[in-house]
Amino acid sequence: MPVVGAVLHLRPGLEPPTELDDPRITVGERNGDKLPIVVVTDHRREDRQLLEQLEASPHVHAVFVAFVDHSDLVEVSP
Amino acid sequence: MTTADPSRADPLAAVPMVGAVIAGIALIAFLAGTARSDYDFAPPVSDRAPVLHEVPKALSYAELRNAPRGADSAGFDAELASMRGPSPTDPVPDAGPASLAVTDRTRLRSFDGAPPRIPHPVRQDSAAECLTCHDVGLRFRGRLATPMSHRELASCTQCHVVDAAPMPGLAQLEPDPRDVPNAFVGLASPVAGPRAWSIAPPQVPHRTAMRERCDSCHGVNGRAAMRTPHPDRQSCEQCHAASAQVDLRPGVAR
Amino acid sequence: MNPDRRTFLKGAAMAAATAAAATGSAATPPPPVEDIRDRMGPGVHWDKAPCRFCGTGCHVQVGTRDGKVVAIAGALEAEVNKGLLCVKGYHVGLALYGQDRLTTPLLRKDGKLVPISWEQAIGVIADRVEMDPAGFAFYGSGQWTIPEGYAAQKFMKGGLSNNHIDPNARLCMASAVTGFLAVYGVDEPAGCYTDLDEADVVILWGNNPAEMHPVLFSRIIDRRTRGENVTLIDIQTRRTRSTAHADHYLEFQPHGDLAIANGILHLLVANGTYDQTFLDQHLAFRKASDPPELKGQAATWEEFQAHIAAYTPEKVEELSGVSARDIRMLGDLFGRRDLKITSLWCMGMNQHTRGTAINSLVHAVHLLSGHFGKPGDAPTSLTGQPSACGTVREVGTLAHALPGGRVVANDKHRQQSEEFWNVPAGRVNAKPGYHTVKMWEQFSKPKADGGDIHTIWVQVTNPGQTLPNRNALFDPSRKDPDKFLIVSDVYPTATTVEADLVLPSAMWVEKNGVFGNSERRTQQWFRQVKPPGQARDDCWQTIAVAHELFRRGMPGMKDKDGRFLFAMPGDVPVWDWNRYYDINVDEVLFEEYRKFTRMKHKDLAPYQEYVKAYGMRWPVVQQPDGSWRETRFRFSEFDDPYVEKGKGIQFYHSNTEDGRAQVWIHPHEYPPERPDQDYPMWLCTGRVLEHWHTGTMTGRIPPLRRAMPASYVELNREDAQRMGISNGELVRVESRRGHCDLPVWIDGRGRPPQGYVFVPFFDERMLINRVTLEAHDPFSKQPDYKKCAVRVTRLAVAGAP
Repeated sequence: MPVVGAVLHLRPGLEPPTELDDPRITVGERNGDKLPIVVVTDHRREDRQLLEQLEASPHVHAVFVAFVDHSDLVEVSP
Repeated sequence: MTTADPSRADPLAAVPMVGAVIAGIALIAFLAGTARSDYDFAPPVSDRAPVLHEVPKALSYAELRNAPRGADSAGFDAELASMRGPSPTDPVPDAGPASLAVTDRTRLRSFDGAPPRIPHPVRQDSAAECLTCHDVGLRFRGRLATPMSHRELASCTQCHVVDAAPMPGLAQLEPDPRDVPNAFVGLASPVAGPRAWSIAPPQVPHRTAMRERCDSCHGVNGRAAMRTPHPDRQSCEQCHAASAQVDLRPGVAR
Repeated sequence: MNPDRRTFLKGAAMAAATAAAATGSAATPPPPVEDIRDRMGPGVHWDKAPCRFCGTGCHVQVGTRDGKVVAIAGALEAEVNKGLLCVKGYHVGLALYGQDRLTTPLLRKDGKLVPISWEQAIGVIADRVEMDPAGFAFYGSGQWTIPEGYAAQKFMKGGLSNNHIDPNARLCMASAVTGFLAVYGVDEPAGCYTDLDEADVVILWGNNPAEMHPVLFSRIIDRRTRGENVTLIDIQTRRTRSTAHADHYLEFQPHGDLAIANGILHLLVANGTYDQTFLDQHLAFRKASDPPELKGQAATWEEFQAHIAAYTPEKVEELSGVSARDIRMLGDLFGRRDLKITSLWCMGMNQHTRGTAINSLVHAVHLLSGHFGKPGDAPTSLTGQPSACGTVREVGTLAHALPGGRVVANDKHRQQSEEFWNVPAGRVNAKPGYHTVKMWEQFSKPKADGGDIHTIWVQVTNPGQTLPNRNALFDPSRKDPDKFLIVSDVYPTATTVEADLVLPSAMWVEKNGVFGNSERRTQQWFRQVKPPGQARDDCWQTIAVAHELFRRGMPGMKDKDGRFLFAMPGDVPVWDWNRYYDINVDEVLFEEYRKFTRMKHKDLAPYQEYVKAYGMRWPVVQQPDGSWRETRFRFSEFDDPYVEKGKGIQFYHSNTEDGRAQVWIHPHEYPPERPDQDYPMWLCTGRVLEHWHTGTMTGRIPPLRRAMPASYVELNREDAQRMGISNGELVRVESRRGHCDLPVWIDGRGRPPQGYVFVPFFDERMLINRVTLEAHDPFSKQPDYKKCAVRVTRLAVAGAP
């Protein structure tokens, strides 16, 4: 179960994207335009997809990954 | 049939000795076959492996029965060991800036992402022999055969072509009117991936499509400056994130 | 996962993220964030396009920067190639930048080509048309984009009432067309590339996809590395790269394919392994009529049985050279219901003086055995050019055709076309124009001898190198002052150097375009860079000439309401080059053309749907929810919306109008020219992996030129030894029509059997089409480049060993 800690760089003056309203995402304490989040998903592809989705949001300038744990991951090919 | 999972173990260590001997003999035969006077278009790799011994001559079957690796078994073993390149647990030398290694790569590629051209003669009617050297990759007397990074693709010569005329007799022909300069300037290869902060693992700055095996370029048989400083770690993507944007993966806005 | 551990990890993750978010003061703006794509070179813009080269139709991603193409990548989401390309595709971007691009119109004055303005050039063409509109001909191409071909078609047939328009595709896939028409009543394959993923057995009929359709070949053989089983059977006249991957190699004598197909039919009947249900429900029999017509006449099951009774395996061995054992192997394979079999063919069966017959027979083998209409079970022809299907077969840029599967000889089809074009009744001429060989014959013949073609406008092709028997079909007009040759191209070619007027064209992503590939897939792209110098779109050139004639008052250039034939919405004056891209001319022409596509159920979606997709296979039918759905398997109820419910399989354009396909009776026949005492060897010509067609583009791509710098003649080792010829030696290949001197390559790319030589046609220094034969199939009019009789002689060189 991948656990990823990341920082969203929000576009100046914009609110966090609505995509954050997702049970797989925990939102931390906002610091200016930076918003820490934790993403817990079932599959490595899923977290990548989720982060890409966030990155594609017009509200988000960029996403930086700060922490990754794939330690107990058993990859199953699709 | 399943292909080996490169993340599971050192693929080189998994090669049985028998395979290595066959590869060695095939390689000797191959190089003997390429020993033509016009064979001068092989770029020497900058970080060539030290040549410990001269190549022993190929043995007859009768000789093989008595001495499996010939009279000079020690030499043969050393040669084979040098073919495999350094062990993943060997210390990694500091080989200067990665940019030089990246530039070195461009000599055989028209742009970043173009399939590299083949710097040695090949059989023109079949791709069956490519994997003799390029399956796991090996070094041989200063030459480096990189392990192929897309194992599911079997028609090698569909994308990789030789870099010099494969046929004889060209000197008699009049010059080709189409032999004109080409003004194409290709995209350069990225040198380093961005880091989230100073000591964070760099992200993968290039496409990963058809580059499933990181060790093809970054493993122990890679160009020194492109080698990973921690070849003992095998699950690269655990720390080095590949970007879907760079890969132009489905659904990514361009 | 242990819940404690998960909580701990989440906490750690949040701590790390919070710490990272806290670095730097919250008051300062974040540091400029890097777009990771910039690591690969800042400012590169990526967009899709189908590859410029073959009929496979791979999609590439084109990387452009500062108005230049800088990189190419395989499009991962394109179903055709799934990210893979061949060496030509990876280097397609280099095709734009050879330094001898044509950049200005050139007119021959006193024997030399001198620069002129576009206005003058358009005026010269208009003069030639006005002089005698009926003697003006258009020679086009399967590399025309769909809008380019459509514009030329409308200009000629809807404007000049002149049907002398034919494409180079006549030389390339005309026999596949007549085969489909004779058997199914409608052109183009029922299956698609998905069959290659599903088939248990793939049969190559005189086909070398490892070099000619490399991505499709990989699509087949890479299944093996994934652990799937696929048996590859190579029925060939010489060993090729495809043979290296084949499980069975069946070497046949030229024209032996006719015997092999009949032999399989014989065994299906003799062994009782044909598909009785399929036969009862879906098939009828057909034989040659007198006079010969494409649709022939009805035949009976008994006649069919009587015909194939002679083709016993032993007889077929005698006719084809393939062992009776191998013929039985093929017969047994087709007799099995538990296997899925796909046949592939390209030029081997099409460039064949019995091309229609062999195409029909291979369809018959699949139909009678029921290996049809299921994924993996299909007879599929491949095309050589990127839009031979889209522009030639679908737009109908052939001397006898109108768009959407219509023909000029049919009153109703002409009426419909006149309505769609809004031109007066009777505008379209009912008499078919000259097919390619005839067109060039009439152009080569002096006016006094009845040579009534005075001008040919060539676009996107190189007939000076590709016409068969060039000495007879191309050279004579170049010495006749009455004959005028206009060529639109991107580089100097064997044709432009002989032309009277040369027009510089834009190519590939220098213009908008739409192609249609071998599997009925229509593919759109946008202009991504500007053409060099004064090079302009071929489509613009046609419209500009039409407008010049309109301006001069030619009635044919007006529609029924007196408007210009190519009037654009909002009356944008697109004939003015500066205004050409003010509107998407491609979209306007495509939407107009789309109206033609419904009759034969080749429905296309609106242009904008193709903008969003990596191509779609027709018929593309709108769904109740407004979306557009492509069709992978034609005539099969499970996928084709035009098949009536409950029919299973329905050939809804059947020539017998009863939903049945035709199984043809065609005998084995020998080729018109066979080796004899004077010319004892077979000559076959073709392509190589690195070069595409005449090499106009690939010859200017340095990595491809280095890998394959010159043409050669492949000679069998024993033959060479017998004749005392050494590898690399220059020899003369000579037929009754002409000769060509080439270096010998023994055991190179391919290995011909004794008495057989192969020569690629890409090298303009060594024009092998001075040697080939112009004999052609009676229905398709496609010449046979694959077999004629030659002799190979050493060129006596003083002091040679």
